[in-house]
Amino acid sequence: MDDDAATIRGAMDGDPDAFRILVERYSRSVFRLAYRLTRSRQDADDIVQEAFLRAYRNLHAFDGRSSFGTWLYRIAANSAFDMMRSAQRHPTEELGERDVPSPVAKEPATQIGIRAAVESAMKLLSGNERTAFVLRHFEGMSIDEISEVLGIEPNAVKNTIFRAVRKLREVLAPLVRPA
Amino acid sequence: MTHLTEQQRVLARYCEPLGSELASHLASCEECRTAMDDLGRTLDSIDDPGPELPADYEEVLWNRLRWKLANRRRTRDRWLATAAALVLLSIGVLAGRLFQSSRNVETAQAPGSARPTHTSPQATLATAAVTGQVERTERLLVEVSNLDSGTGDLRHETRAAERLLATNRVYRAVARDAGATELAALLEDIEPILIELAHGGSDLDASELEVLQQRIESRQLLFKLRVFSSSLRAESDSERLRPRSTQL
Repeated sequence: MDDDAATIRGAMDGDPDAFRILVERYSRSVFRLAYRLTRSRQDADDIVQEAFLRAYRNLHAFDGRSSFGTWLYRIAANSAFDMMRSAQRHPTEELGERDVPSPVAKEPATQIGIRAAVESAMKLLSGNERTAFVLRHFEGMSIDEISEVLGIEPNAVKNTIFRAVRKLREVLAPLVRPA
Repeated sequence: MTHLTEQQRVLARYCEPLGSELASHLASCEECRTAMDDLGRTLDSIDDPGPELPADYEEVLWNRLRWKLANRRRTRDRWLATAAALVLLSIGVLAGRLFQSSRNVETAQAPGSARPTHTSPQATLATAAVTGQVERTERLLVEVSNLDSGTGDLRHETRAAERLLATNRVYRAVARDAGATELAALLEDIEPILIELAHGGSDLDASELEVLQQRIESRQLLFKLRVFSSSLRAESDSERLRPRSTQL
């Protein structure tokens, strides 16, 4: 947004109202991203808070090369990715219901709504696959930006997106195929 | 001509445009066009608005954040105040010790003069604070100097630099005001490196990391830090060995 620069300067100078404006402007979209990545409202709430706290602490590092929104998305995606990686490392402690493939994913897609099918299909993706797909499909990030978030090579990002799409199609294609 | 593979179709949709040969095949091949259309329909169906958020979502979030931010500021301020107090004490002790040493040199020449007095526990604590800062900085710079250019994640180093930067600024200002020029100069040399790491650490690419490593080396920062921390440690050891009963 055009007036982000002035607001960010204000926040850097310690004006809490300026940072509040940024929170009001971006919190819903950051929540949507976090939810799409974690499939958990509680985790998404935690990620939104963590992202804004990290952003506040690192405002001085924001150099304006990307928009503030993109920068913030990157922080949120990294937070979500850290959370998902941690959940994968400690499955018995941290894996919630969200990370277990739902039985509904095994039902014929025609018996469930397409949104429920998407919900189920997303649960079948690994952390990397989900992050790469969400950032590309919903957020429109470039392959290079996703590569930066995930810390993997652009070619690996492409392969990851391909794997994600293949898994999603297995569940969704029967539902959307024309009669 | 062979048909487009599934991978080529997905890449064409999300990652890169088809080459001219594949594009002209797609234009003329009914089967590939149908497959592309199927893929497009499936992916277009993936719409995920997420849960409805309450109207006051931003306000509730801000109230939580405001409290946490204020807490964080208070913690940081308390820590900085403690650090500043320790530094002030330390600089005072170092200055006092120099003064005491010069007096002892004079009085030692007179028969029956007193030997140097023992340093207080507060002074030992203060010296330890400065030593700790210098040693932590040295460890961080060693880590950064030894990083491979392919190392992607510098978050640990960035966080360490952030913590050291805050105290470095306080220590430097106090050292300068107290006339401890050698310490002030050392901390002034280190500060730009800490700023660069703290502000851009996790985003540094390989070439930026290399430049940073060269700056550390060219300014001989590690050498200076080692010399300074060795002298502080030596000073501290001599304090421990000095007899408590000083009057003959």
